[in-house]
Amino acid sequence: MRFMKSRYRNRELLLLIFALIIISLGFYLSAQTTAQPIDTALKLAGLLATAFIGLHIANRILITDADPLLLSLTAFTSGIGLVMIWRLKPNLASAQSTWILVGAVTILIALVLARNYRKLKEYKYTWAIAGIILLFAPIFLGTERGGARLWLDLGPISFQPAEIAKICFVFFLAAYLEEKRELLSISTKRAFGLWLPEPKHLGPLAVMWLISLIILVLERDLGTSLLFFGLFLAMIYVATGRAMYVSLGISLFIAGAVACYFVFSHVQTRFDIWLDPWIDPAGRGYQLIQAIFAIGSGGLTGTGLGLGHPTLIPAVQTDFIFAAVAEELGLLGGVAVILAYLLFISRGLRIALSASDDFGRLVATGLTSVFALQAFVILGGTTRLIPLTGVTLPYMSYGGSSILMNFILLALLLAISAKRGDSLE
Amino acid sequence: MIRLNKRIARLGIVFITAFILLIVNLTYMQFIASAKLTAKPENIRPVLYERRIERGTIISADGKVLATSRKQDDSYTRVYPEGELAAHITGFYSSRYGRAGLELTYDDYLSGQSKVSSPDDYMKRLLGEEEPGNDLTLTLDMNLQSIASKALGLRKGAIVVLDPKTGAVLALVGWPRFDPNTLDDKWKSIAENPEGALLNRATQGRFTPGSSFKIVTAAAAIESGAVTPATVYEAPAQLKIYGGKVSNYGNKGFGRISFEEAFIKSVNTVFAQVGKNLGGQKLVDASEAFGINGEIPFDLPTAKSSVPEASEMDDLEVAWMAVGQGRAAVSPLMMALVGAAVANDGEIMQPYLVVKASERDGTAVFAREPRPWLCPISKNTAAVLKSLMEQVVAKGTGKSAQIPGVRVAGKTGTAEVGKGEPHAWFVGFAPVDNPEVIVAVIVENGGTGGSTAAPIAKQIIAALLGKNH
Repeated sequence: MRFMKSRYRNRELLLLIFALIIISLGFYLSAQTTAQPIDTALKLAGLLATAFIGLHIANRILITDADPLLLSLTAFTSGIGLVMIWRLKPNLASAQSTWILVGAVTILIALVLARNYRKLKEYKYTWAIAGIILLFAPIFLGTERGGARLWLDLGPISFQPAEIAKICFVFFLAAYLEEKRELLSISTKRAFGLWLPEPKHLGPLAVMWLISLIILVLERDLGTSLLFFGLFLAMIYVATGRAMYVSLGISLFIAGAVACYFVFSHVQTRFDIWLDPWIDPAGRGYQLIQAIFAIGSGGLTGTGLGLGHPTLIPAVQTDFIFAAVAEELGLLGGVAVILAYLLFISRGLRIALSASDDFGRLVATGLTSVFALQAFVILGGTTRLIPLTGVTLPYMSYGGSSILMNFILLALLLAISAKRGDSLE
Repeated sequence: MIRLNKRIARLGIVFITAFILLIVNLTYMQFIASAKLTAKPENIRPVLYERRIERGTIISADGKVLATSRKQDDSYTRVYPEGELAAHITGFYSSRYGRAGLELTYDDYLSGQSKVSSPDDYMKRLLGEEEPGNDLTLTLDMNLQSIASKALGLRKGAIVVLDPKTGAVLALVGWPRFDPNTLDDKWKSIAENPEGALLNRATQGRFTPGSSFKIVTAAAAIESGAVTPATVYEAPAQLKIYGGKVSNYGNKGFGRISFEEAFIKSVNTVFAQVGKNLGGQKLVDASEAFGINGEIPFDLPTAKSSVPEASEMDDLEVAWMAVGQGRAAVSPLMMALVGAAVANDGEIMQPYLVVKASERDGTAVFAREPRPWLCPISKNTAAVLKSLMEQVVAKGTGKSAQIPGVRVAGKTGTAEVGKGEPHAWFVGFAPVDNPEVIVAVIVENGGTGGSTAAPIAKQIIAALLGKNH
């Protein structure tokens, strides 16, 4: 019975129980302070525990040697998220917990399928085409929400196809770069004082850049565009080691962003509000100002769960959920959450380092980069470190497609970590 | 492969740097910028937090609730069951317009905003079970307050009623006033009332004292030993001093009279001579001995009563100051305390309104013992002044304060104020042999002290002593 003895899995269980205890206390406190039925708290905590203990058991059987931290970190962040959503918008909590359950089942399926993740590289152009279709579907079929056109309405379910597209592009880029990275690292032509590789090898990369711009222009989605471009740069840098790609890419992105500032009023608004939200405190700056007030009122230990006023922030349960955490759990809670993400990211990169093949290495790097960029962009946006772009906070924000895709991301990282070449220690 | 790993590690450093920036920024926002953000006018959180706390109740000495918090849905609203009657004492507590009165001075007790001091407190806060604020018990007698308020009626003015033996304030009335229950709705009309409805005239009003100030002049004269009640003065209708003149009320001459008679009939030309003989410095010193030119330690904001510095006055102004005219300006509370010195054998007890602050279960967290404040005159001087003041009521300008069977002492004042009717003053106490109450009354532009202010004091004294005897 090898799986009963696994050191990693025992550690995972211990950490998982620790996370679940913290979450349960959170549910208990919220029930007390917001005068909500303790039964619901029990039900939600139970659902969460079932999902993650179930996944833990699956890990024991399927991927005994997988990374021991990722699952507990996911339990912690999605648990805090669920507590906050229940406390902020009680009637959304059951939908969110359902999505977590569905996500857990998806992980199971993904784990079974992804145990041989190397096969994924055989379909690299399929991934590319699927990604492009998913990305651009909303332009023709989507509905507009909050100035951005990101959503597909499929009967009762509406989702953001860009969430799925991210993972498709990670597969494509990993497969493509693994194959071409030698060629891309060799410069044969000199142009504008720079050594460039053969143009035909650069073609697909130029396509990626174009895609990012198209998202920005046609879907008006600054956040997703930034995410794709950042993912692309991170992967190409890791694959080729050419700083030239990075500096060229950053210059291109800045050029594109500056152009957008002058062309699109909503981009301009976002930027101006970031510089000084008080230019329109009751209007365009309202949401950010309310978030800043919420964070400021938290102090070291926060107001206590259920005792702050985070509901003053519009749409707090999605993009701004971190502001609610910072208000009610204070600097301690906020830093704990940030560190949980950083730990997740460092484990992701560690998995990339110890993967047994370059494809696995690049996939893990890509997935971790997407995750890190997304977490940074929204955490930085809600705390006014950078201009706000509407993306969800992985695992914590309310929303089905975000939960699902980040759970698939987790499954892939776990699967890669189980196939590592050397020890994770 | 090794080079690939190096680059992944570099990517990791970029991410770690970015997330450390997040933490630094968060620390800045939650620690350094926090207070600044809370103070922003757009931030309604401070108001929302306070509404969640059940503020303490303010209760009068006779058990009437003056201010209390009522729960509505999730938050508390402040209610003042006595409405206007105690408005200047309780003050108000408004999320929009701040707070005033006892709601302001005793905010720490009422809000129970004591800092978290034990793990137990912290757990309670975590669970949102914050302790209600402390209740305040006052010296105020609402029955007397209501009688005093009715006696003043809708006339601009103020009344202060204290127990001279303890300094306890029994009633404190001013008009115009406001209803703290409708403050938020009627703020504009209340705040912009040209007569100053928000001004607590009893403690913050500054008025020319007129002849009621002769208590101070007489005290200085008798203390100096230069004057006794029997000292005789010429009392013409007008007295010329340095090209100016001091005249009697109604331009009446009295011939040769004693100081006693001059006090009883409030003869200005005699007091002008007394003041001139004493000199400005002695007059100012005597005033300051009573607390004028200083702050009165009190539970409510007070205006500083003042007389000019001696060096700033010529003989004419000194003479006018001796009769309570000129630049002297006093609050009704100050005049009550001047009277209290006479009533209490020369010693002024510190005035107070709040007897104690207590927790819901009755445990007192703050309790007040009466304590002496100033001792401006000797016991002998006090006794002399007492008999002078008794005669004012018995046969002088204060006859309308007489109460059958009670020995009342007092001094009237009729302060000329440029245009319109003079301010009517009366400062009196009773019973003379064992004073239980001192009353200071001012009715702005009310006419003579004897005809307007003394009858008000009489009603209050009669009501209080009638109840006690």
